[in-house]
Amino acid sequence: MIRFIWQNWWRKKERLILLLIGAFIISAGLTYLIGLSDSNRGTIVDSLQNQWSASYDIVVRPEGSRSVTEEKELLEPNYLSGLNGGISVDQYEAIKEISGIEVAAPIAVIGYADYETDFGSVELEEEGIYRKTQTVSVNNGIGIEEEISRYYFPYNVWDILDKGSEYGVGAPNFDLSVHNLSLLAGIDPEQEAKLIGLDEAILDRGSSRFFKDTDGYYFNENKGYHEFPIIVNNHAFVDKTVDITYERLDLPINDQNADELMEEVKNSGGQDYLHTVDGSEHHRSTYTGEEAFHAFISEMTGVDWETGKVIEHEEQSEDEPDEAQTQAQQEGVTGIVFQSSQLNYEEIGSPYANRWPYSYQLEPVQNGEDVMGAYANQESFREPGLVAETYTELPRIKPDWIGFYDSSQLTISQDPTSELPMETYRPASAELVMDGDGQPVNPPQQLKPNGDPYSFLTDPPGMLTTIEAAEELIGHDEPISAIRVKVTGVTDMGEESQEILEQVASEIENQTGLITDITLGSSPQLALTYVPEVNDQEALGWLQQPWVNIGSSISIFRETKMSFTSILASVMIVAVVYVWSSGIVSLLSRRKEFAVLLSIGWRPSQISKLLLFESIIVGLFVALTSWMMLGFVYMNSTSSISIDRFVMTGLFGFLIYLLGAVVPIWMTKRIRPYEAIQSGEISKTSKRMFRTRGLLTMRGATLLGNGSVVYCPLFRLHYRLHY
Amino acid sequence: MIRKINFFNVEKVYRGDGVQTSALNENNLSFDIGEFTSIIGPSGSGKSTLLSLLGTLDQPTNGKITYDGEEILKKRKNKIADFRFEEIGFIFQQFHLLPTLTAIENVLTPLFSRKVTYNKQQRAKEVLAQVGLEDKVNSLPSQLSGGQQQRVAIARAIVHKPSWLLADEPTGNLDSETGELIFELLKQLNQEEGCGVIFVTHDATLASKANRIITMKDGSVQSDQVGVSL
Ligand SMILES: Nc1ncnc2c1ncn2[C@@H]1O[C@H](COP(=O)(O)OP(=O)(O)OP(=O)(O)O)[C@@H](O)[C@H]1O
Ligand SMILES: [Mg+2]
Repeated sequence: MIRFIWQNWWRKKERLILLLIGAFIISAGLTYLIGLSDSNRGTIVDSLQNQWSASYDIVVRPEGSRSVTEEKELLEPNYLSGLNGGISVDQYEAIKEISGIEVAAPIAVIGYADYETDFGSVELEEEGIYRKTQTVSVNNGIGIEEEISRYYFPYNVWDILDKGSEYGVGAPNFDLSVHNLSLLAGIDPEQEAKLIGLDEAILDRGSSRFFKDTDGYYFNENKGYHEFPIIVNNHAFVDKTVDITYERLDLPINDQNADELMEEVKNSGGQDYLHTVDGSEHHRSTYTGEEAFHAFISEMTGVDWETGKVIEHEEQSEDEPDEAQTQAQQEGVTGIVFQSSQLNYEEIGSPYANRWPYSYQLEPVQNGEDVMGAYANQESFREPGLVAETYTELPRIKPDWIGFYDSSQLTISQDPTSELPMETYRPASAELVMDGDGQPVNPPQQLKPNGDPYSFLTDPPGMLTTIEAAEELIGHDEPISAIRVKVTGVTDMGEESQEILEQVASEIENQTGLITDITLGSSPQLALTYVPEVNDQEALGWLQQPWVNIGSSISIFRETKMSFTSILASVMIVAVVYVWSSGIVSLLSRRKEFAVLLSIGWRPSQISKLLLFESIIVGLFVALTSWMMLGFVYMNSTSSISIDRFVMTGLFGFLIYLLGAVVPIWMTKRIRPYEAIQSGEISKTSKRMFRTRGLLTMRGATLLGNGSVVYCPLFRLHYRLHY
Repeated sequence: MIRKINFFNVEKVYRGDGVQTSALNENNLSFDIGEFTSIIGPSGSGKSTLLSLLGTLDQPTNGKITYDGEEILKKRKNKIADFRFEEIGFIFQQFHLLPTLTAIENVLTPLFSRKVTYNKQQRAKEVLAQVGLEDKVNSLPSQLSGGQQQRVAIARAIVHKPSWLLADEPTGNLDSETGELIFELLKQLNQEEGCGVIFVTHDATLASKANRIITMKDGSVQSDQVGVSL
């Protein structure tokens, strides 16, 4: 039969050429659409997946924690650390019970522990009026924030007892100490280990280890402090240096003229006058944030940072305790003072909407007189707050160090542009792209946290404890700020995963009333934030940050898939219709030939078989051509194609021709052998196929070139008009 | 081998879009194998219709046709096709050769995917020799004259050894001399192979050479003369 078909094609070359051109066009179309554009679609999905990985699939937050930015489905990258509880342990337990949840890792942001690192005290020899200058220089990545404080005191020369501040001097201060803040948060060790491998990130130093079940919380009734286990981030320090100098002022003061001279100082303006007086340096110490942190760790844990060895207690007790050290410090007791809080955003028009479609401005908080400490009457980006109602209620803590962790060893990406916010372990990324005047900053500069709990960018927690301890420290039963959930069976982004996640998310919402967001299908969205001037300091400018666009990837994925499938479907339809119509046309021209074959004894089934064979041959040709074209394209490019897709491309071509054979084969059933005996080109049966019932079919019949048919409906029409 | 074909009140009406054409009126006819019959009559008198009914190419509207008493047309299409293959050879006025096939390939077409006891190639060459075309075996129809083409068509009609040969104006497209030649060929086949030959013609001289002459008019047999000498 092949030979018969081949002769039929080969000896009618112009028809063969047309057939081949058609087949070639279809192969090329298929190769392009399935083979190549499919790889584009693959690239879209791959890049969405590779560039944006998620350690967690769903994030659960307390009700009412949505910010204005979420109206646009945008989540700011600092969103987790600003939350102060709101989820109860019971709710957390309920979520853990929901089927399909593999990991439910809670985080309870407790607050900023205030700690002072003591580097001993200065020894002064000469009597006189001294100036203690403490310069704290913080490198925020963009510049150095310098904070200078000066303090004056008389040494061995003038009795300050009963003297007021108008003299500009105070009690002698010999402290060489550095003040720091560190965020404390509670986690569930077991879940955190499962989520990001926290247990694997514990440093091997001395007795450093991960949490154990036996690590419990304890409240020391006698001394009134909380004792609880902590693991400490080995990188929890701000890039700062603290410089302390002691200068002896060039004032000719001695026991005799002291009173007289101090009266003069008072009359000259007190402290303001002393600022102008030169001095000679008698002592200078410089400490880095890192040194301060390590010293603090040693103090708190009794473990030497470098060696991890326990510092012998006898040694310490033999030394005379420093005068300046308070009782609490000696015992390693400190307090949690500041509560973390969220940033307030206001949407503004973007200066470059093409580049940054989303743009926000920070709304600073104007603090009143009653706000604590340094924040009184000042502006800040976050609302300052105490973790307790009053100072006296602030929790006193004695953290029980059990280990160090290195957040760079976690199974999360350290690049904040490629992973969902993991601010528990890594600060959010923020790049200064324009200064306060809107002038571009080239190259953009990376902003670093400055250690201030109420500044724009906050530090990740420096200390982690358990949820149990968090509940006790916070003092209410809703300590958890957020729960990061990982769902079983969800590996890559796609329709199936999305469905599972939606189901789990709604289950969580139904059972707990908390709000959920599916983070798997999210992607980074660069957003611009304007950081305005506060406290008469120059405005920082415009910062670019990778925000989380909730559900954007999945929608891109869906659109791509949708449009791709519809394109594919329409191409398939067009191709099949093309093959059908060319098959029908070719059948019409071969009708007589088939009638002759029937009249000389061919079975109708043989003719069907002939057509089927022809289609199979052309289909194979199309498949082979597509495969060759694909192979050629991929040999000459670096991209790869999956076997499935490769096979599918050819198979589609084959299928199109096979499907295309259906109609002609069905039509051959209507060929009557006696057509062979009739002369004339248009056979009568083709006319019979279109029963002239209406104008439309009448036109069809006319198209077939049979004028006689037209007569009948016209006649009928005429007939009807008469009645 | 079918020895006798009988028409019982066979009627053929073509219905097309409200117009009815009666091509054959109640006809009772019988044909025996070995007869050499010519059918003659004016255009539109139903000759081709009669022939196509005889050759199972079409179904009668009324009445029945029996082949040795069997109503073949009641069978399935593939069975009718098998019957046609076994018993009937057709020859057309327009030859109806497949233009893409050589003479021998054309002759072989009826044998296509059929199981036969003889060697197909040999048989094809044999019948081509029989019609005097042994030197044109590999010629395409376009390279042959009309008479040669019709001879290829005759070879094709007899290659599967049918017992009946039906020819619809086989000489219609040929000059009278060539027509004569084709006629002689048919007569020879009738005599040597014992085939029943029924041929339609407009040529009264040729028709008169048959041993049975059926004259048709308006779908009816007007006269049926048997026993005319060849
Ligand atoms: N398929 C058909 N549909 C409608 N009418 C038809 C059809 N085939 C034949 N006829 C009609 O049947 C009648 C007999 O036709 P037929 O072809 O048998 O005549 P004929 O004797 O072979 O004529 P000719 O000598 O011209 O070949 C004619 O009137 C013709 O118009
Ligand atoms: Mg005719």
